Amino acid sequence: MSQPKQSTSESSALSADLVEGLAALVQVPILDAAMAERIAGGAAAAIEAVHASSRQVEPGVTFECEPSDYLRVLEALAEESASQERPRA
Amino acid sequence: MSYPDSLLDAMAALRSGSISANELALQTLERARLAQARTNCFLAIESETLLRAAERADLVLADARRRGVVPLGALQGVPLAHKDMFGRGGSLVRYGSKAVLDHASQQVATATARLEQAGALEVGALNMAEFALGATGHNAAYGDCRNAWNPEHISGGSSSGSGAAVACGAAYASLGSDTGGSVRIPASANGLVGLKPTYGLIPRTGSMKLAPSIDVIGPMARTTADLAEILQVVAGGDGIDANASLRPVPNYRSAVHQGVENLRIGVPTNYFFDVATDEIRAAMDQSLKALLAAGARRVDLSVPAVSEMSELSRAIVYSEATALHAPWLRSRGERYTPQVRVRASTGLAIPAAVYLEALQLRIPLLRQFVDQVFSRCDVLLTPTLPIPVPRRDETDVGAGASLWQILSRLVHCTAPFNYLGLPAITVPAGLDTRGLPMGAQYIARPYAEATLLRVAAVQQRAMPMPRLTL
Repeated sequence: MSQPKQSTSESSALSADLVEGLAALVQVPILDAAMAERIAGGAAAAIEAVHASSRQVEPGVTFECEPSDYLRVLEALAEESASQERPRA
Repeated sequence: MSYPDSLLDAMAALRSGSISANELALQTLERARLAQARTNCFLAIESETLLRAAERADLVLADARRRGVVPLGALQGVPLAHKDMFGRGGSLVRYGSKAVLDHASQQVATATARLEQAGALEVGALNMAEFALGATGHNAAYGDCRNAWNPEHISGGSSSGSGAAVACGAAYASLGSDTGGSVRIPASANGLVGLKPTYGLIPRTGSMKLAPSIDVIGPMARTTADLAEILQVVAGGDGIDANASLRPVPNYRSAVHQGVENLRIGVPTNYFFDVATDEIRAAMDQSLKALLAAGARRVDLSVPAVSEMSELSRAIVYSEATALHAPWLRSRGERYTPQVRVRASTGLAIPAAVYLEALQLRIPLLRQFVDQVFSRCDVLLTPTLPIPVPRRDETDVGAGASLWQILSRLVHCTAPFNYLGLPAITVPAGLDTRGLPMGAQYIARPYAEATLLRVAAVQQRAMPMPRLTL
């Protein structure tokens, strides 16, 4: 896994101060402002991507999806393929 | 006898008695020492353990020959080595870090235990990115792992030692893990075949966790047939890992002989080639030509919603990694190297709702991708690395403004498939003008690893890599 990408959004509200505050809340030490800034940059990029992606699916679709069904969905997609291939064989 | 080139050759030589497990182990140890000097791929070479295990393997092999039967264990006497992240029931496992030297995992990893039960031997423990949090092979705790073809260049990571050791012939195959490209990137950079299987194909029981919703274990080897042999042994649920599929395991060994006639090869018209260099594009053209010449068909298509998937994957990885590391970050954060400490702490700033949204979006995005892509093609072709293998100094801390761009491009083509959980294989696609390997990546439907092996075997026969001499 690579290092977090840095956010390019100028409107990002995720500041180093906020990161330091969150870290203090859960008592995970942050070394300095530079570390907090790097965390903020990486986290902001990931947050922006989630927001961008949620606009690509139908509103409400997340109500129909249970993350714990993920393995079952992978297996079902594999089976769909197998059933589609049978007539050709 | 001369050193068998491939794992299958080694298996045949050991069974026929033309080489003993002890002779093979001694020759492998010599290669391991050369590989270590060139690449720093090992965290430990375990000579005595290897030779003792080889003695036991020779007894099994001799008994089988005397009785005229196939020896117990398909891999009897074959030397392998793995990323140092698989639990050995109380022995030290370093996870590439000096933060956990007092933490001996009591767990036994199912995947490596299955290889051991099949008779495979272990040469030693392989280098890796600290806690698997890095795609380059840099490791400030144990020293960087370097590229087998040119040590001035990165090995790729996080399964850095796996790539370098197998390329150097210090092991016939290796298990690594892949959460953003960590098997495929070092396999490609070192001229190997490397598989990120479908999520759930290989049980993760007893292996280091990075992000359990995404982590997979994957093999790499010098040939597709060798990789299939390893996959055959390690695939299939173990009844312990709740996220390991209990589907029947297909015959991967036979898949490598099945060819690609009428297989539809999808070539994406968006995203994956956007940042590829001309040389990489030409290598992908050559790869495609090899498959078309063997009877495959080309399909050009646009792929949906991939541009954000690397970051979606990171939202999950960093959230889960921080949750796993939080106790150690509190109690021994100073033992982490600074860069890795940042990466392990990034989830602190990702809200729980965002993390869960990334998980919830995965199923509809997966369905959309599979429906739109694999209704039109059987496998998708992309570069593994869209850029040439970078130099180590280009990707080291303080390398300058281009650092982030290079790091993001390293996972540009790999990380989307970690998010989706789809199987992906990298296959050597020749050497670039600097003599460094390039790799083609093929992606398929869930649990269609056998199809990927068919494609990889055909490409490898058509585009053999030159031999790497140390």
